[in-house]
Amino acid sequence: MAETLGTFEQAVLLAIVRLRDDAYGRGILREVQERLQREIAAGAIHATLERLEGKGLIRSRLGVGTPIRDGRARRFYRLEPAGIEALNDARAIVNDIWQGIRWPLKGFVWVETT
Amino acid sequence: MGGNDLARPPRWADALLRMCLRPQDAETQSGDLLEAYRDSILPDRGRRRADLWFVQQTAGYILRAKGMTLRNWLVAGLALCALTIAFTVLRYPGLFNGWVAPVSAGFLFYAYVAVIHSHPATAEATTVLRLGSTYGIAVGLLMMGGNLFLNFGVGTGWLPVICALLLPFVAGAHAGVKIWRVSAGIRVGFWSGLISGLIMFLGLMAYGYILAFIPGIPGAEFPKNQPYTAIEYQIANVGDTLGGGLFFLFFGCVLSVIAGAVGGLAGLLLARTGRGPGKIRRILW
Repeated sequence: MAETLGTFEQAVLLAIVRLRDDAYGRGILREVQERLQREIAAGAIHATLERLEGKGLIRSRLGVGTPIRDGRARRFYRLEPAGIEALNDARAIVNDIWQGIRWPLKGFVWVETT
Repeated sequence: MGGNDLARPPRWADALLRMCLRPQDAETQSGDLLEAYRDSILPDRGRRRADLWFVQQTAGYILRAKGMTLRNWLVAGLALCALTIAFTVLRYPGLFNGWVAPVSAGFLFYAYVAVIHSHPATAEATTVLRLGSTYGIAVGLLMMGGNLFLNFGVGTGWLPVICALLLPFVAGAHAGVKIWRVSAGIRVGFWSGLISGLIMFLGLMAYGYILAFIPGIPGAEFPKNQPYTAIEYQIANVGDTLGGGLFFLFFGCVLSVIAGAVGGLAGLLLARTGRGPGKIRRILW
């Protein structure tokens, strides 16, 4: 079994998959915000990327900057084989636990009364 | 390239951000933030709100800085407070007579709580700590800002002070509704009181020493006996802010816990109103 991933880590890894050669901090932030449909702190993305790199799921390289960022360098990310395995495992687990249940769920509302 | 591309976020925040990041990340991560500021935040929100966004993001980076967990921030803050008191006692020995034992006990209690209970093990504890720190920082900054405004004769200085006094109730209500327990309001009140107390203590002590050594700044205290010596003038100002700081650090936390409890209960009662009889949830302590 590969590394167990949280939802946010999966969102970041899948953003790297989608962005391919354009997967750097700003692009990943935008992609994750669009997918999760909420505002995400840039620091949270960078902290997650650092953690994933520390676990050996992704690796990074430096690239040139652009005028809009005053020429400051960009760090591009790509998945390592362990990252692909972790994503595949995460998807398989979700598929397994939902097996046989029709989605979306209806008619199972629990109301706590006094 | 549009005009927004040339706009700059607050320089001090950008400099602070780059200073707090590791050298190998300073260039790339500050560049990502600058790019986001220029390509979407500024066009969407306008200059003032975009600047505020940038400052908030910078604060987020600082709080997430490597190794700086909430526990480390609290321990560092308490250590700084203890050092400030030790320095003050050594410099002005008569200032602290009779207070050493209760203040030491208070610090030991806070240090114990900071080390043992600031590492959340459950989702509920995480929410409590997150709310407590957010409201604590807000209360501390509002109270400190309000105090400075009032000392400098700004009449509207009461506004941030009133907001700071009301926020512990709001924090308790927020926690109560979110976790559906009154005790969550009490715990958020405690963390909020501790964090705001640390901010207030350090802020007031810094202000007290500035007043003591730079005469002529508004808000200075003057000794009752005339004429007075330079040492008496220093003791009047450092002693005044030391008393205020200790009040906020210890009694402020007690008041914040009470406000959190009242807010938590009020929040739950409000959240229950308007619901049908079958949907009313029981209030949990």
